[in-house]
Amino acid sequence: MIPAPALLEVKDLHVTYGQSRRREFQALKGVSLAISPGETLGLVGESGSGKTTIGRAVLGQTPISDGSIAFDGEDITHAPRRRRKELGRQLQVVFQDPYSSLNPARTIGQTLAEPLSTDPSLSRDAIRGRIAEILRRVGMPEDTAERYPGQFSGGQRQRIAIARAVIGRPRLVVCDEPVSALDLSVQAQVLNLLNELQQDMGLAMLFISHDLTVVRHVSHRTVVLYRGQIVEEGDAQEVNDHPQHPYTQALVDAAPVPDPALQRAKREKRRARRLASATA
Amino acid sequence: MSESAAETPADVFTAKGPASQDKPTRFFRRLARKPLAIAATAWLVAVSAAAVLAPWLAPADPLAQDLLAVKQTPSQAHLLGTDAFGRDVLSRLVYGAWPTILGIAEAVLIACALGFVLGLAAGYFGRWLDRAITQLVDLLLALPGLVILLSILAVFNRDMTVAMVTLGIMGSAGIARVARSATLNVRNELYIDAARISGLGDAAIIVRHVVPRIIGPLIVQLSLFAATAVLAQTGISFLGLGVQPPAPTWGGMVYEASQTITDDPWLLAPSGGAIALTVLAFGLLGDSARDAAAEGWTRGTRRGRRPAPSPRPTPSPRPTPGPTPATAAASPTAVLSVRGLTIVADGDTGERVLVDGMDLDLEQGQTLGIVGESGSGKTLTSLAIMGLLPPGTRATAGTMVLEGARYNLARPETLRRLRGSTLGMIFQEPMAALDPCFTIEHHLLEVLRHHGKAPRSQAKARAIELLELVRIPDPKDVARRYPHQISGGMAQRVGIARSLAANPRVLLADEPTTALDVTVQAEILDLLRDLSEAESMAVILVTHDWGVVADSCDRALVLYHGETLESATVEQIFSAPQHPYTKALLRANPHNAAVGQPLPTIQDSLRELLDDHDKETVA
Amino acid sequence: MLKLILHRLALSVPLLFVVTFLTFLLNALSPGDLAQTILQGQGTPAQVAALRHQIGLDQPLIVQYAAWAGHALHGDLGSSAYTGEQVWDLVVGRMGVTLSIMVGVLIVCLLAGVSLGILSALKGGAIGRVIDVLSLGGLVFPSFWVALVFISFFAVTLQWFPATGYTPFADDPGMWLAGLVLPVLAAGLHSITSVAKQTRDSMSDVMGRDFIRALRATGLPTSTIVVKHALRNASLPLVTVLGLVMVAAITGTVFVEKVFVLPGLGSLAVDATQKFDIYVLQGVTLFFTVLTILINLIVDLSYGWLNPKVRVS
Repeated sequence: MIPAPALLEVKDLHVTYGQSRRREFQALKGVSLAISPGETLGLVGESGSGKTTIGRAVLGQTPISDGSIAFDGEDITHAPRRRRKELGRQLQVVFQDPYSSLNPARTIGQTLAEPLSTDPSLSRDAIRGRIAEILRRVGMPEDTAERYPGQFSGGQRQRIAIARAVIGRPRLVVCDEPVSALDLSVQAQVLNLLNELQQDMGLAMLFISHDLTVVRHVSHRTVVLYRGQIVEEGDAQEVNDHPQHPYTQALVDAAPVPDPALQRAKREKRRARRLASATA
Repeated sequence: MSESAAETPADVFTAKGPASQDKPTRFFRRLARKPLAIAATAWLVAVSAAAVLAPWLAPADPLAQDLLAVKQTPSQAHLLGTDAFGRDVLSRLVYGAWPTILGIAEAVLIACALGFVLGLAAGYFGRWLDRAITQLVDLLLALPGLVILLSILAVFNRDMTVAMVTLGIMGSAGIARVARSATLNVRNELYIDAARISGLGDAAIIVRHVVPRIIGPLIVQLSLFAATAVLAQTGISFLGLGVQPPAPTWGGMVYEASQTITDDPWLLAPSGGAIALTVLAFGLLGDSARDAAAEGWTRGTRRGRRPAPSPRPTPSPRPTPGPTPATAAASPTAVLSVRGLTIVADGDTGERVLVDGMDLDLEQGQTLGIVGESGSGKTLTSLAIMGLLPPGTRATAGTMVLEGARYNLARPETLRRLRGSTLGMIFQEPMAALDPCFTIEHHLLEVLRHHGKAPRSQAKARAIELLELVRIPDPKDVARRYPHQISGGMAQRVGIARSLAANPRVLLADEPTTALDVTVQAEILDLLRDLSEAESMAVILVTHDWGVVADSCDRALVLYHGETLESATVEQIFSAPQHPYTKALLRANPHNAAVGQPLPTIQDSLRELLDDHDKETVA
Repeated sequence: MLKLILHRLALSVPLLFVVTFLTFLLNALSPGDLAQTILQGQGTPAQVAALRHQIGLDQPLIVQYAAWAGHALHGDLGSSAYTGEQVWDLVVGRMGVTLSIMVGVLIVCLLAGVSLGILSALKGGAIGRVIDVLSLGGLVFPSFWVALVFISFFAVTLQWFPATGYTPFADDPGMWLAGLVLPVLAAGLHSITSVAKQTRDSMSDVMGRDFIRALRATGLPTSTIVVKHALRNASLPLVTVLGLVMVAAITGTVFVEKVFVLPGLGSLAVDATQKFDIYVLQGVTLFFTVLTILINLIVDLSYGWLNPKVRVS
């Protein structure tokens, strides 16, 4: 990638959870990364790696112990509530669980209007128009706005959640495991939708996932996280096909591929490595 | 991905969602549909009206004595009889409603206002505020209520209003506790985070998202508290510490009845009945509110409760190819064969078929994958083989041949002696499969001793061996730990060790690695393969992950919505899938896709395949 | 574990101070005045002032409280304004009756409540409905009314038990027990049925959990799974409910002592309230507060003992 001025720049980020000093847990230990406008950055790691914490920190959902986060050149590390409210239109999110992310008691229209409600310049009709437009864009039927989340399947809900994220025309969307709760058959549709929206709207995305294959498919660059630290960073395809760091190698080796012959070879390689490390 | 994370497959084939119209109605509307709630409300309204309108409603003066007509049983003149002074019981009851209703109103209002604000604030804002309010609530809850009320009554010269306000303050603790936990539940929903990220303020979030969801539990708790308030108010009157006689109160009337208990027990009935009916009304209101609130949860908001769409989409225009003739006899070489397994769910609208006439054969020492997406019935199949189908579902047909013996899968009780000894099973959530109250060693020992009848010391040694077998480092230390002290991967190893305790011939593994990290998954799969080889144990591996199938299985069986689409060796399935659905699913996997290109979705693939098929048939 | 005990105790001490101080504060706020009450409104202002000085009412509240608390620590809770008896002696003398009833309620809850609950969770059907009806009765009928109905039916009509009064254990153990049956049942009806209901609910809840299915998959007999695993896990919420029920039983004893004319602390509290005998009332409140704190402490400790997540941390 050509080094463009970064849209999001995270520098030496530290996040520590826990109240007392004895029980504290360092979720992030000095993470730095940058996302250019229109770029998708994949963030890969296993549980406890801190990948979700990075997303939460960028969205202002978790207190930051040290380091800085800049959005479009502006330091938002400790942005006040008022500034955060305004940022809500530029910085959006798609969560993993499509069930918990929509309020079952509110219509899809009410839910989609939420990100627009902070913009006083929009009239009621304008909001209605935007909702119809975005629903069409994510491939949902026209009457969706009047219906309730309970009437939709997980894949459809995830489209609605994506619609909510992009309706305010944000510049960066944090996708936190957006397809992990979906069946394979639905996953492809949602990934395609995200890719299309990203290209059409010039979105930048922070794509968080435990699945290297999925990340390889949607991201330009990939960052591999292990216990709160970045162990590898580079072109998405490169990281997946030629991992450099031992942890990334282990991760790639461990992920089973849907090809029996290839998988057998991988397994043998893994076993050899394990035996080697056991005798060493 | 669990079976319960229901993704309706209708969504795969049609752009439109399921046509169910389960609009989540508001809590009060649901409540108003319950007959018991209506009856309870009617009684409470009637009592309140009686309290207010007593001078017009009561047939007689509640204080007028008639010494010629004492201790009468009900008659036309006195519908509920008379008391020891010949006063009309019905009139006294009607007049006596006022102090009770007033007292309840005072206590409930105070408790509601205080408890609601405290609980909402603690649950929503958290941190120090939560800690402070929780401390206060704990303190209030630890007070001996009635004794405090007595002190208040003594100090304030038997003033009932002060007592009921005090009761309200003490009762606010219970309300606050419920409001707090309800708020916390909502607070953890992702849509609150989404609203916050979208720039909504706290006030808007509380009004739109939090309050509507905590009203249900709050009404439940308030009703129960109101019932308590009735008992407290009448109790105080009974003790003669509130409104002074001869003014009528319900509690006071019970006291008056107690004075003539030997010769006029009837007098206990009207006053006791009025109190009991009022308490009952609040109790029923609370119960109905609880049900109404619970319906709000299950109505299309929780995953997995949604019935699968009944008309099963038939993606394949051609007859299902593949090597399994449905009527074949059990394979002679198989260690386990199932024929015609049918599982149904009992619903409101009759039986719903979840698994339809399934056949499977498991060869000695081999691993058979049952592959499917959520709602395919893959987990139910494995549970049916164990005879452990969840309540609400049952096998209606199916025979199993296991090591030459024949079993009827529709009679799960006959499978009991197979469990643990011939058939072992491990589960998707390894931690939840262990009893949190017992140590790892205990888990293994009880199974070993049940099946092996070995002496304790021998069983202990075997338990450590088993832990070594599943490659747990430092098994002696792990044996002493409780489930919450080990990791998920470790817990699955313990689960495997336990299932191996009685050397089963067949191990059923239901999504054993889905909840685990990918590096841990690889270790567990390696372990399962090595064990299967070493112990020549056959394995049924239930999974949604094609990578896992490619890694671990010899044969695979593709399940879609309870129907077997195809069954073949793993090489065949991957290189030459027969069924269009299998083909489409494999193409949708991002691993096989070119980067930068859109993934072929199931819809696209099926459309193409159908087109091809049309051309073929036309040609 | 030891840390848990100390932590809980440390939390209880402030509670004790808060409750006793509150009763003091209320006393000061009250429109009535102890000195006037004792003199029954007939003393001259000088006499009232002298009496106020004598019992220390002219001191600042905090000084009065400190004096009371200091004495209380030495077992001196003051004396009754009417009979002149030492409050400590009064409380100790009447404690036996109240504790007998409460222990009785606890025993019946554990024996009848828990077993009914288990039966209903496993068998459901008829037993479940009986529990439902009984618990409805336990909820809707006030204990004082139930007590009267019991007297009317079991004592007056059937004459199985004495209607009222208390026989000390030392005098006649048989009569002591017979005299306690009706009070315990009346005070405990609600407690027993709530324990039965809670047992049923937590048993059904536990029986639906994953590990029960996993245990069944190991081939263990159902009896082992129910008795050892399900009951053990169900006992965790049950312990909490038992604590709440015992605290609620204090209210029940106050009423039944009054109805059955038992010389316990509940009837003492009611009499003291009626007569505004403030030191006696304070003494009884102190006793019941300590009792509540003890009950909660026992609950916390049993919970910690039963739950390895608390015990081994």
